[in-house]
Amino acid sequence: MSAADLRNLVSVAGHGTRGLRRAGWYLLVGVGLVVFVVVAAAAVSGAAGALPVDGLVALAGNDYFLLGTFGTLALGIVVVMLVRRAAGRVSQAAPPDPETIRDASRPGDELDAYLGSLAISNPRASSDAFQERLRIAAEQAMIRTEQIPREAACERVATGEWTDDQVVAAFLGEERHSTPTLHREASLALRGERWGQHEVRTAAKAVVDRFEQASESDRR
Amino acid sequence: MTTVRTTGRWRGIVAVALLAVAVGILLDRPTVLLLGIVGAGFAAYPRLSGPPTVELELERRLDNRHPRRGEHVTVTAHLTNVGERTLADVRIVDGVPPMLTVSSGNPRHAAVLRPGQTTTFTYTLDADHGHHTFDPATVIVRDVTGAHEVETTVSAAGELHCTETVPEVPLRRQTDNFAGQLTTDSGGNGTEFHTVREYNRGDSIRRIDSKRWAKTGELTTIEFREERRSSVLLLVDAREPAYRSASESDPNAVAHSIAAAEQLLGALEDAQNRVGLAAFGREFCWERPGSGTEHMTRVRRLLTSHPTLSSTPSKPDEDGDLEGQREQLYARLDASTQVVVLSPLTDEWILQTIRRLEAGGNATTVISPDVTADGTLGRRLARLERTNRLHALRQADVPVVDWDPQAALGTVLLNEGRRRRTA
Repeated sequence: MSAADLRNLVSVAGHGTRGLRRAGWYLLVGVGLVVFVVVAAAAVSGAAGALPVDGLVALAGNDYFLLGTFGTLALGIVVVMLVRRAAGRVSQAAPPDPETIRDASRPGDELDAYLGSLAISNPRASSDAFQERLRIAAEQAMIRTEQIPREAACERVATGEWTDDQVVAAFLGEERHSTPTLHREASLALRGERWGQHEVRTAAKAVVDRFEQASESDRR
Repeated sequence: MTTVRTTGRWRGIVAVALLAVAVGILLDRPTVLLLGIVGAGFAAYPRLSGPPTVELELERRLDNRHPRRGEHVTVTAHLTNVGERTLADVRIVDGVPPMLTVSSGNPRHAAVLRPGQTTTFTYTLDADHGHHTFDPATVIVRDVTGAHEVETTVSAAGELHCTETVPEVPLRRQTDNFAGQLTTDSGGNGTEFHTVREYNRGDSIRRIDSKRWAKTGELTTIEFREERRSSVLLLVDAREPAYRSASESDPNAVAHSIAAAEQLLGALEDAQNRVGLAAFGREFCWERPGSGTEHMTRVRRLLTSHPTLSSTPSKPDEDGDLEGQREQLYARLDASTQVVVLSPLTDEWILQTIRRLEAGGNATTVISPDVTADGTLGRRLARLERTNRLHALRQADVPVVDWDPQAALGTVLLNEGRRRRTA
């Protein structure tokens, strides 16, 4: 049996269950209405004696047991309906919010989201994505602020001589990644951070702290 | 689009009604019995009546369709029931343009509408630059019990143009041979003084320097800077990375770029330049440079209605084949066309595109709305990267206008023009 056949079968079964439930509901309402009309007609016409009340009382034991049986049945139905009502949701439209501008994210929010995320499926792959970006940022900032040629900037970033931080030097340099000690990794994990996130955060902070001041004066 | 729903608001009311009836009979209390009948009525009504039939018309009036930036625009909406049945519960949320904010009043309204009856509500918008089109209003109509609901939209004309004039477009010296606004270094016909030379037979009598002739008797001819027409392509970066804003209350960079493109289009048209339009994003948008009323109408229509040039942010996977779009641009561009790129420069892709345009012989100018923000590490890095990109472009001799969108584009371009002339 193919997946499509299986889906069709499930769909037909679903329709069948809904149809049965609806038929049961109509049957219950129909029986209730018939009983109600018969009792009401008997009460109005004065033929209440024709109803098999005595037989039902005898079957139940006494008046109170009969009352209790009806009451319990009614309460049971009410409880079932109330539970269904509580579990179900009111299905209604959600109107739009036109009062404010349709928001877009800020430039750089993707890096903040990565650094703030607790659940990253593949932290090494994610940090690789930011690695190239940070390397380009460092090289271009160096070209701009120190007026050195591209080759010299690439060389400085590759060798890591532009920073005292060994993690940053390795992450943006030729080594690409450094291996943390078990103790270091455990202490980062206690702070809710993976090693890949730590590398990206440290490198981004080093690049921004080093070149941001010169950027501001450039802008002015 | 219309959606009809059964809300399920009175689910369980049948059981409550039956219980009330049972208790009423058993305790011989008619009031309790009546409560059950009310419940039965709520249960039966939606099944007997069905969802309401909605026939509505909306009219929207704006007290100023061409406001200045920051001015208030009062919107008055009239909603009329043109159907034959009373609508017991009508709720409307007007389709405020996505890049405008409501400063006072409320674009939401609720009413009961008899056939032919009209309800009116008013609110005020803060105008921001650009061409803004109202979206259709969302209307939700429920029956008396609220058991059925019809959600639909009602359209009404509504457009708001808040376009500031741009007195000067920063074009580079790349022209075709038709007369236009771009001033050149060669003398000829124009308005700006260039030089005075000896009179040659055939020179126009209107260009003879009459003061000098009166004073010295010497016949000389005044030369003006020759003005030629340019072929310009406005290229809007509307990729997902360009949909960024400086804060949640500010329009995104694509909205700024579209508004700027409208302003530049007007200025270039006034100067009789040939203008085209292209955009990267959801799909490639292209209209080759041209002139004339029909062409300009087509370009304006693209600016306001092309899906790529929407100010509503796109999703990360919504962009089309960007490499393909870029190749299409290079293939269609004429070598004599200069390109004005409107981009927030949020990534390296657009930088590479600009470099290749320039290398391919198309004089390129960049107008970059600055939407960088401050505070977090990511935002600080993004700002640093943008400064790097501005510098890299300037080093490659690509003129860049760093535009703070809080300032009028016309003023920024004038200042840039002055700076270039004095440099």
